[in-house]
Amino acid sequence: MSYILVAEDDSDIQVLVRRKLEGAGYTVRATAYGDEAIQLACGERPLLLLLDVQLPGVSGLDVCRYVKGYYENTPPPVIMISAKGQQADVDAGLDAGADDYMIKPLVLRELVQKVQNAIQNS
Amino acid sequence: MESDAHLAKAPESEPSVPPPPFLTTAAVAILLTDLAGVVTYANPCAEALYGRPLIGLPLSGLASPYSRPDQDRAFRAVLNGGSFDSILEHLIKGERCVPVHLIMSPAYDEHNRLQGVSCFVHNVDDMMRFQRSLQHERDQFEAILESATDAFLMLDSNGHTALMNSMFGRLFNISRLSLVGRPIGEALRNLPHLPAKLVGLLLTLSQNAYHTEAGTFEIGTPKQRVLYWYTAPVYAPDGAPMGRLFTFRDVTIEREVDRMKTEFVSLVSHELRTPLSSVLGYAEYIIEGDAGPVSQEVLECVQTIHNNAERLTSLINDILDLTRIEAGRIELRPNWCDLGQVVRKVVEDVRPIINRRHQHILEYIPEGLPAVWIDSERIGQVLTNLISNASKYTPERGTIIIELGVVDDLEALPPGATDDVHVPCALVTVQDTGYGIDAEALPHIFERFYRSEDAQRRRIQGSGLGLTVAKSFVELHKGHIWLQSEVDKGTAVYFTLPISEGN
Repeated sequence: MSYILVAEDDSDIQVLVRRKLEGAGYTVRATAYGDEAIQLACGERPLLLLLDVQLPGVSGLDVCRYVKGYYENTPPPVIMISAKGQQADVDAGLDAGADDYMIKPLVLRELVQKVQNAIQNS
Repeated sequence: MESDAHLAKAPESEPSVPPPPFLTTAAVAILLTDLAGVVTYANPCAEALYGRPLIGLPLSGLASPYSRPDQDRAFRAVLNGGSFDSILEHLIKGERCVPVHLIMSPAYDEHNRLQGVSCFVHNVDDMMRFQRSLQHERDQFEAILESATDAFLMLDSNGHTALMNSMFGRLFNISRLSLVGRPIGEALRNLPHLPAKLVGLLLTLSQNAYHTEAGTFEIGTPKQRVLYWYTAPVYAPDGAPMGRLFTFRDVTIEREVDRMKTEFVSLVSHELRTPLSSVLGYAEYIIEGDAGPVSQEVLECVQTIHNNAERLTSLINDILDLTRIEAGRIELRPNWCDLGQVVRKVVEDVRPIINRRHQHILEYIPEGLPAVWIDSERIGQVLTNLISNASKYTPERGTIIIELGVVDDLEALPPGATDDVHVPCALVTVQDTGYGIDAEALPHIFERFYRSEDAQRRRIQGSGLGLTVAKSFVELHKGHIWLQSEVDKGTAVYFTLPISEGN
């Protein structure tokens, strides 16, 4: 079943994002760890990946690169999330292959819009 | 011990031809001795100098006991065809022992026979005193240079090293010998271990007589250091160019402290933002209705929570920006931008706030404005701060006007501009019909955390950082910002952005 993969280490934000996306009709699988995100994504192709740049261990950038490479013919869309003021993170994310990015603090309505756009465009 | 018998008073010598009259009016002390060293003639100046009749006295007796052996030795040498020109101590009038300049030469009579020694004597006490005080000043000056913690190097107008203090030597591991007195290019060639940046700096600027410049660079040898340097031409009091001075200061520690401060602020900001993110997110979730229907009262409460969390976020962002600007760690990301577009976007973003206060916003954006080289995000931030201020400090139903233009002429700038604005430039005006700013508050208005009494009395929300951040970003773009205001009439904030010609 197609799902959205969320990798976010702040548990409160993780819960909030899950609730919002489920409320918009999506199925969500979430993890706080980069390596788990890779495992999940490669186990079953997600509809979209929502990745925080800063994750313990394997970073969101690494997850993006790996998964895009794994599904090289049909890469799923990736939205990176980074903290404000880290323009370097945004650039790095786009370089790693991300399709879009969001800056914290997240505006939920904007998040849903970006997710919908990204899925539509892929 | 040598016998002085031959210097004892000799019997009266033959009367010789009287000396020429000009000797009596000469302004230097002149003496003539016989072969035994006894004075046979002394001019009036000499008698005045020594304060006693000199004829018949041994020359030797005029010298102080300290100088006597040297003088006697010299006297004998002069008789043998030598000469003497030096400074000795003599006992002059008033039993004073002073330095004198003594010149002795062999004296011949009209038959060209050696008859004795002629002496010219000049009291150099004052001159010696003056020299000593000069030396003292020079010693003081050197002591100051040596104890300075800045490194100094001075090149004269020929490009030779005139002066170097020991701090310079320690900083770059160079000995005075290898630099002082030599042309700088040649000296540097023989010092291959020197950091390339230092060599480059000294060589390029040694060719330039007029430039004043400063900067920083890092060196790795002998130790990892960050150095601040400053160089300026040096002129003598009469305006003649004397050379060039280089100063170097070790600012490694200051830089380290700055870096730690920025890191600390970044860390703290990140820690503060994380929980704020949750507060904002969950509040929004409730407000959007995702948590189910809520009563109006609950909705209003949560809206308040959201608003305050937004204020807090703004405050943290502003503090982080200011700290980074101060530490010189803000990197602008400029591009060629259409200023009109930047303005329109900001107005669109702030429209909800304007509408809530039933205010009007008017934009005057002329056609054909040249593109400006700016970081549109940061200038956007400046505009947002100014427009948000305009809205806050204007009553409901008031008007805010934003005007863009190009200024070619210094005369055409609005009043209050400083002298150093460069034209042509782009000029942005944000004007309101609001409360205005008190004359007392005006000089402080750009200060960090400054809130005027009026603002506080009116209970207008603000951190006091909006204008500070705006000024910092405008100035980082090499622009200028100022304002004009009248109480109860309104305020106009002006800022310029340079337009580079060509390119």
